[in-house]
Amino acid sequence: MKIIVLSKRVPDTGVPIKVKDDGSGLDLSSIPFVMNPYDEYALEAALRIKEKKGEGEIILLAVGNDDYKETLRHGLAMGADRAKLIKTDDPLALDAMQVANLLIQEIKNENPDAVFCGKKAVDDERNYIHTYLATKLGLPFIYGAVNIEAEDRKFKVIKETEKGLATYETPVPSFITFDKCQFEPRYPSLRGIMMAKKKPIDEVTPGDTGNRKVESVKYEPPPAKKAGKIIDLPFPDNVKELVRLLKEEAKVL
Amino acid sequence: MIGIYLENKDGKIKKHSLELLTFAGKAFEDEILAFTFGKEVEKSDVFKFGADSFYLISGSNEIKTEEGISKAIFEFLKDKDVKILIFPASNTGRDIAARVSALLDLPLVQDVVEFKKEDGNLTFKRPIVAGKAYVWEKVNSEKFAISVRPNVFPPEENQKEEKFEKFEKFEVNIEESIKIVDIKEKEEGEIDVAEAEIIVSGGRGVGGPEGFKPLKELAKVLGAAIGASRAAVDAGWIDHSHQVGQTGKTVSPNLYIACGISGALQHLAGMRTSKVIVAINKDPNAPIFQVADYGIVGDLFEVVPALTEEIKKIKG
Repeated sequence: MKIIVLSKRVPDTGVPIKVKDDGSGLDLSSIPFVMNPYDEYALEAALRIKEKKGEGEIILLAVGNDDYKETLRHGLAMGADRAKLIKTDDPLALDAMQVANLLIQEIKNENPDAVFCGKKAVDDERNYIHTYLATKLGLPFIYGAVNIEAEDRKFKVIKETEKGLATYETPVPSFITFDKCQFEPRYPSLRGIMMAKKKPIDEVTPGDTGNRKVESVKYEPPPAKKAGKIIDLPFPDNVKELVRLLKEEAKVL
Repeated sequence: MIGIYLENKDGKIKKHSLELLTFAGKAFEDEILAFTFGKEVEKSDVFKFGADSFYLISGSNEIKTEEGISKAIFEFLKDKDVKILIFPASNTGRDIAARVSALLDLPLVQDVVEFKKEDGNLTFKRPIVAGKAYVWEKVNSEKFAISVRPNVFPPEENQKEEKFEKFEKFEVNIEESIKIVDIKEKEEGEIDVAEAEIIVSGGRGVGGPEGFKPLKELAKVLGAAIGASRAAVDAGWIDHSHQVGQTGKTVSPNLYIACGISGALQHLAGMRTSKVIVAINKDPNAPIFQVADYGIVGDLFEVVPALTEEIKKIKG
């Protein structure tokens, strides 16, 4: 089974991120970068399928500049077999449809049994590239899987729905995106890290992106939150006062 | 013409979807075409909040998946001259927004929280990096789609004098390539944290799965959803569907009550846009107090049950 895992490089989610003073973008100058956490779940899901089947090939695919090789190496160290990087100097200058346009030809060339990726990238949160890609590729698409099993010619996918946790069946090939899963992504082993150095990262010249339709005009920090008040009364008067404030001042009860 | 997809639960249009009608009335001066998917629907609200026409889309076969619903919506829209399509940015709404936009080949801006009109140009604001920043986006296309966050534009009854109130059904046969083979139904009355107006949320301080019990009692009295921090979810005390924060859900309820949550950066990112935040924590130095409107330093196992009793009193 051949699975493509789309992998994005994003700022580490654990650190504060500031907007540049002129509002032209995020100040990422001293921010550590990681593989998009949801893409890590997607990769872990692919690795589990390969291990269970005892055969298969997992290919990482990304649109980005040389910095993205670090992210791809991380994925290779986790256990992916090879990687492809569609080279573009400024990946942040592309909108969702443009990124999808670049990815589509490479996915067609590989003719995979499945395409996996995170349900969203935790940086720009556009939530669209995967769906647009799947639609253009004509692949059945599932958003936000929390677990998956590969059977002969189909996948069993668990996902959260409004009614509860549902099991979906989708044929091979399919396009599946992952939420935080019922399992955790593995850490690369030392052996994995050594082996990753020998695995290939093929560089691909980008095709036509088409016009940019969604433009980022200005960035803003979140509105400053005024410091609140600690209700400094003994128990249970503090609780009574809290309820009074919620009712009379905040008017939310 | 503006097209608005309304979500319904058992035929009743959700409040979040009514907010979209208010939003559309304010943002665009155009005819509003509203549509929902299902077998039956209560239609009075839809006209009260400003729709000019309203369609009920359903399958002539049984349609169950997001794929099937989106294809049915596409069949309904494909020969209509809709300039701007609006979807609710709920978990399922985002999925359907993306599928329908892709089928119609439209650019899409997800999770809009604000809009601006400048020299005839519309720009939309949405949160990125889990609310640590916002971006204003402009769409260079005559036709496009957006999804809009809940609890941003309170629904207001429309003041339009002339009302058309046109209601029709649209039925279509759709082949689904994906099947749902099993659903483990949620507990009765459980409210989705992403759509709730009030959230009672627990963190490491609740100490274990049993520790959520007083929180659930408070939530019941308030009609609130139960939220959780990553610490509580990772410890296995509660299911991930309750997680608020960067790898969980981003929420903006009217009232967020954080119990035993210290306030890690990634949690704050997911809830800081809540209108009113209450923090209950033993540690007076917990970062959660920096974003809270009201704080109580104390033991949640003492404070939360007392709070439940006090609220019962005022709710009668």
